[in-house]
Amino acid sequence: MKKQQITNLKGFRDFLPKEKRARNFVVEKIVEIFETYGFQPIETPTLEAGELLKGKYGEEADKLLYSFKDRGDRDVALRYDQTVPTARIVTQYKNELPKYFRRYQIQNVYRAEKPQKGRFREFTQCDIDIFGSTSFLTDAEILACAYGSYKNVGFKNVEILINDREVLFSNLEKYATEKVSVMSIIQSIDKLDKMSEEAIVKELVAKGLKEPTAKEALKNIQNAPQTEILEKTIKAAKKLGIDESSLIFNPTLARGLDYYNSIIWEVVIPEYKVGSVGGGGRYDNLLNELIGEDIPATGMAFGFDRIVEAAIEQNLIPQKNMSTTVLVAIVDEAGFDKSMEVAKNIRKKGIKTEVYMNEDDKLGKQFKYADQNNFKYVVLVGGEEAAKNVAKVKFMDSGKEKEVQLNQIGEYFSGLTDE
Amino acid sequence: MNNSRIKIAIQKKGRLKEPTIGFLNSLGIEVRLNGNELIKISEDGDYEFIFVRDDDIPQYVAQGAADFGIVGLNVYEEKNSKLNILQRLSFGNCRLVIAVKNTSQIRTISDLQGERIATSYPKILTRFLKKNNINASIIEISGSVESAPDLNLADAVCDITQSGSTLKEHDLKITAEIMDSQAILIESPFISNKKKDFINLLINNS
Repeated sequence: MKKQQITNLKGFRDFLPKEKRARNFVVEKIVEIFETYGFQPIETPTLEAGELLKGKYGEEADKLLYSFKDRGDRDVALRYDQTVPTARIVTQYKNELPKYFRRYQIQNVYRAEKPQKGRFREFTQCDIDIFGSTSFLTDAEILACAYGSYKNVGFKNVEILINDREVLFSNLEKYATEKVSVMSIIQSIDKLDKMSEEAIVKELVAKGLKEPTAKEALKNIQNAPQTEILEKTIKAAKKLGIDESSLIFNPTLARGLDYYNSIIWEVVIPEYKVGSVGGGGRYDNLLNELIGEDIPATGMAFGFDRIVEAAIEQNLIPQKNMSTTVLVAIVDEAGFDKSMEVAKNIRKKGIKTEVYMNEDDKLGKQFKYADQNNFKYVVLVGGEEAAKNVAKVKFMDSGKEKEVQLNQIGEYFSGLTDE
Repeated sequence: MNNSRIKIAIQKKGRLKEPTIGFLNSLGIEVRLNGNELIKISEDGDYEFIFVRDDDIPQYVAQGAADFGIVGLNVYEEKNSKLNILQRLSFGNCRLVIAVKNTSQIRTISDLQGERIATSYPKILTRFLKKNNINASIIEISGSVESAPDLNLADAVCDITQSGSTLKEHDLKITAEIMDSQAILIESPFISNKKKDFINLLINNS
């Protein structure tokens, strides 16, 4: 038989234990906070009806949808994002879900992108949203929850830039001309974080504004005051736990503006230079557009891959317990039963324990395995130890050997300062 | 409840109780005990004394149930308390030590690697061991720690000692000293300005 090439598909990733652990750590830390804020988990199928997803993301995006006919000749498509399936959920189960439904969802989505650095065909999305309320409290809760989540991963500095779409419209409308729409002005001004003021003015002039008008528009928006709703949101979010200096009003923030209708925000970790690590806002009309249900909503997406990358950069992933802690060696027939019991009792204390997987191997080989795979302790119960009712614990780093009473072995390990 | 009254948490039973009362008396704050009251108001009505377990004192003060507390530094450290220490009171002196049987092979801190240490101070002990890069097994028990080696529950103990006589009685010798302790005065973060007068009284008298 011809040998098959064994490799993963382009644009799709494997995560080996070390990387997967880093990802699990981030999930664990943020979910812990989601849960304390009362968000509830949901999961939706990988496959949805083609007609649910088609036409929902715009023409360009439709080309990226993985859609095909299934075995029963039905039009189906792979999950492209979590918003449309969630919109389906809140409509389909309207009568079962709470009036103010807060949910979190962490699942993979599929897009037939051209694979390039940092862009994949399968990646993890992580969202929190609250449905059913137009109150500023919803935004404040999501902001505080987001801040707490990033902090819980371990980031020292977390900044949330916040704006109200209304700030942009009310301050820029008057500069719009027949040729240059207010949206077009906003799109240019949104680039302020990447481009200089001169370059923005130049771009606006190229679009058709007069230079003094372009300059004035820019100056006007930079000095724009907060809207009342923004003030209320910021105040409540700070009272809910965001540090005074971490929630920053930025009147030029636009966030593409596609479906947001009010408060918008972006999360930045200043030391992480790749870009923002999350963002969101209020989208009261989107569900209506998607599925014809008038349900107000506000929510945000966490840039999962970037958060993991930033956490690795800042050494936030605990290196402890990466490998298994205890190896129970197989010494001889006489100690065999007690060895099995020892493994059971150490595991009862939550210490990661592996039983050596070849009863015919000499002890030397077993120690070599322990060494190569970074076990910290090897536990041995041979006939000699079994007769004395003890186990021998060998510390792999110092070589120290300690005899521990069999009935104390679990307590002994859970009491160790390193565990 | 009278909110202007200054509330002081004091050890209900144990080695700090008598010297604490003596100390307050010396400041002119009279604590007269009759019976086993848990809350006692002074004759002039200015003070309220709350008698509680010593390891609960930091909690009472942190929550504002008491304005001040007098507690051993050892308890304060074990509770990982972040409360402000107003004053070290120079009584109730003791040391937190690690001790082993006179016959033990353990002689230095590094010999403690892998050994079992019985204690009622697991947090302080953990910090001490980690600082010294020792991986030892902490056996947490709440009292009569000194008999743990005789019962083959531990190879060493970590406990407080004043004169050293209890250690001697159990054939124990000191291997390492972890910290010196004494009674301290802690204050609640919720304290009113008016009650700061109490602090002034203390400072003027010390």
